[in-house]
Amino acid sequence: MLSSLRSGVQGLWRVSSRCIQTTSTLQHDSLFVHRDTPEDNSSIPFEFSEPNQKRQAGGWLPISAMHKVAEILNLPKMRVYEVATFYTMFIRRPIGKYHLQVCTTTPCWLRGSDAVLQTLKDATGCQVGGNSPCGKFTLSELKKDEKPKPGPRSGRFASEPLGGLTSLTEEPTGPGFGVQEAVLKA
Amino acid sequence: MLKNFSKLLKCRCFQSTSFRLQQQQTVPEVEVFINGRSVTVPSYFTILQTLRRERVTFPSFCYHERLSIAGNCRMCLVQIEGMAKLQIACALNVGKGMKIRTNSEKTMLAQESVLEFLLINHPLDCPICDQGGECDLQDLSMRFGNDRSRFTDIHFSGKRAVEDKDLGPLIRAEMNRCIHCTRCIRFSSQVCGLDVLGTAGRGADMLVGTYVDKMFLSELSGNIIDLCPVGALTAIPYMFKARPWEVRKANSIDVTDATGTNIVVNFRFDRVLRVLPREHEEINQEWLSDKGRWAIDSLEMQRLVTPMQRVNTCLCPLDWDSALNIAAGLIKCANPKNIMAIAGPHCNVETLVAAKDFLNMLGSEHTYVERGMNYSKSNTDLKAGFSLNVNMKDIVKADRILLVGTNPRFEAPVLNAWIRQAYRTNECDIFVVGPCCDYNYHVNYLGADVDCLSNAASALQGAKRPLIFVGISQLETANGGPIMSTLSKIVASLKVGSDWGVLNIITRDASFAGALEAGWKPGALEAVEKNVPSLVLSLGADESFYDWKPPAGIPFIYIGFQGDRSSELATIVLPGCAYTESGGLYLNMEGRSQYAMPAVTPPGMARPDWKIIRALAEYSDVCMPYKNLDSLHSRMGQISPNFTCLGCYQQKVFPDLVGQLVTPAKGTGCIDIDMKTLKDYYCSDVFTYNSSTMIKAQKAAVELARSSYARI
Repeated sequence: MLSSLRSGVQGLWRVSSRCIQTTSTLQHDSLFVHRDTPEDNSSIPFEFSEPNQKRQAGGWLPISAMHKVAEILNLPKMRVYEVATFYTMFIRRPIGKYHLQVCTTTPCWLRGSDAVLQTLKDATGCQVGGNSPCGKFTLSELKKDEKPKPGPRSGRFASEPLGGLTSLTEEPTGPGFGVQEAVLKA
Repeated sequence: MLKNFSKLLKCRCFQSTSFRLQQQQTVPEVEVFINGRSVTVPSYFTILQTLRRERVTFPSFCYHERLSIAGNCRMCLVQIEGMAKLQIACALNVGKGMKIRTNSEKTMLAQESVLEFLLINHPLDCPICDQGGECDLQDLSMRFGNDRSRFTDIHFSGKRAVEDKDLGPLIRAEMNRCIHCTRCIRFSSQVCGLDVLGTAGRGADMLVGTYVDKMFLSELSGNIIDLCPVGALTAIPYMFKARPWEVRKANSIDVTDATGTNIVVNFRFDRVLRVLPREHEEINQEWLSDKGRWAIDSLEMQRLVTPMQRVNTCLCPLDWDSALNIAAGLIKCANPKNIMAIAGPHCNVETLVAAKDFLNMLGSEHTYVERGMNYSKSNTDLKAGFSLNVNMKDIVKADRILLVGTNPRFEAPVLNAWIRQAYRTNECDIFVVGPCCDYNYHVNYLGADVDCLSNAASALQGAKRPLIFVGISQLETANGGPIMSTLSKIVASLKVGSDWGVLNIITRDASFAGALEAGWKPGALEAVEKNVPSLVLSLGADESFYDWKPPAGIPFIYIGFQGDRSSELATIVLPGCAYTESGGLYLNMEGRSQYAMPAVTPPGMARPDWKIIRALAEYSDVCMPYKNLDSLHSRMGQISPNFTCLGCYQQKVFPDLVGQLVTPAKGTGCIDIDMKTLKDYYCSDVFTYNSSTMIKAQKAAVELARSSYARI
């Protein structure tokens, strides 16, 4: 009896489940809005200095730095935010000293990137897109950055023959080639 | 004489044809084919412009005539023969012999697909969306979209969800609905001059908004609602109030400033619901100031709905007959020579003419507007001395502008849009004599003292089309004389054509130009101090009575629509109409006359102001020569032909005499402006101060100024 009740409820749920709209999960591990935090807010002053230029403010870009850039370049702040959010390698939150990035695109996933990711999560205590409790590590997923070589791997670039050119190998002839002499003189 | 006339006409005709010929020579034209039909367009046209001109229905979202081309919505993809891929019509220039196919299968498939992509992430919440019925996405989906959905992802990852932005108390941002057309971003950066909005992130994660937590407040901010092709940006005061097909519309004129912005009043069941701008290429393009758009809730605040009489400290309601009887009794008892009428900022010309005629018939010449202006011996005889002497659309041609004691951004926002356009597109340099204010373009301050005007001469020297704008509030003070005489000397030293009015006055009240044209005099406060009136008739004037209180025993009749200072002091209150109820003729600061159509009926027992004056005359045994609007209009035509010649800009005559007739006076030196920043803008007079929306906006502006992200 209980089981029939359960199937009835499930049936109901299945009917009504269409009405429940889900929302897509965040595709990116960082936010595209700024939230004031104790570590990152506009009241923290920022100046470009020697250590800053060597390793940019601990490897991340605070909002005060964006404001400083806007001031130097005489740009509206929004235009700087746009650039900083567009490029994924501008990290806009405090990160650990060691930034662990795991590629989880299809080829890597097929080769077991999930296991690597899980191991790293267990070892460091990080969540994806977060810092470890000790603050030393940051874990994030990334899309593979290395640019693949164009064309097939057989050594060809495009549709050229595999063993080199078989025709049109000679030096190109100049203008007037094959034209009757009478025409050339006229 | 007739012969002369025809000669003149011929001459004009010849001029215009030769002008046309000249134009043809300067702009090369190209021939293109739209679906096989040959059309000739100027070579600078884009394909979308060509299609629009030829009235071919063609979809687009991000393209807007008055903003730069972005080309990111991909809705206007079109097939062009000879090009392998589809092209975006908005960003592609026409080429010689281009064959455009707007109805080919490839084009139509592309349009369908783009709409399908847009709808993947657009919520299907049309029933609860304020844009429903006037939404571009709805319309284009109906016309160009597929009639069934293939979207099944709802079971898996679902639609994109974006957090909403807080853009302030006026604009509601529902960012799920955003289709990333970036019109609002381009508007805020190009027209408002505030780079507050932008895109954060990229690709599927892109967000349109502010990145930091910040409001978008500007004097023209409401226009991003009209620009938004979907329901991402909607008006908070109009939220969930009506559907576009339910509202009725009346073409009207905005009276919150003196620009004469063309508006459409949307109303339903005798309530004004919202105000939208109406296109006028020479005045407001298609923008409307926030005050004109949202101060309308003031029309329902503190309204006077019944005639009232003062009994001790109270105002007691009366019927019209007894109220008019009492008022006429007061008028008959008063010394007719010293009866004084003071006109407020929202009076239409009908009221002004009727009131002046009435007072003149009684034997009084004391008709004044609230604002003073006494810098000139010519008083108000020269129109060039109190109006804009350049067609507003020509401001964009200026190459150097001098602002003297004025911040047009808040005094005349749509005029400021032209100045900003000159700044953006014409490399116009802008100089300011006056205190530091919030301008939305870069200005060079020459000082805040009258003596600093001498520096302005060198700043304007060599300009081909210079313009000088003087705030009307400067002419009220003793500085008026020195400012105008110095500026006139500067203008005389410049080498510009006689048809280019260099010296312009920016006025602030919608009634000002009309009143002066009808023969009213400026300076009510000075007049009452000079000679004590025997009776005061206030036509919606409130501001002056904060500074001057009629002495006890002097009867005070108030005709107006809003209960404020005047009705507090009045002996008799006669309820009049607001501009949405009576409509009427308004002259803007250029002296251009425009007619506002009435939208709703006046509340309670209120009546059109000119009819009240007409009835009052009847009760006071004065016979006025008009009894309906038609005869009143012909009377207005007698006073000034400008009152019946609607809509056109007229060149002012003798502008160079203005400088010669300046009364010599010594100024106090320092120039001040009353609306310096945005928070001074929203509640600047009695009408806007009674609007709760404007008070909310003002509070938000104060809050924004305190925020750490306030600076742009």
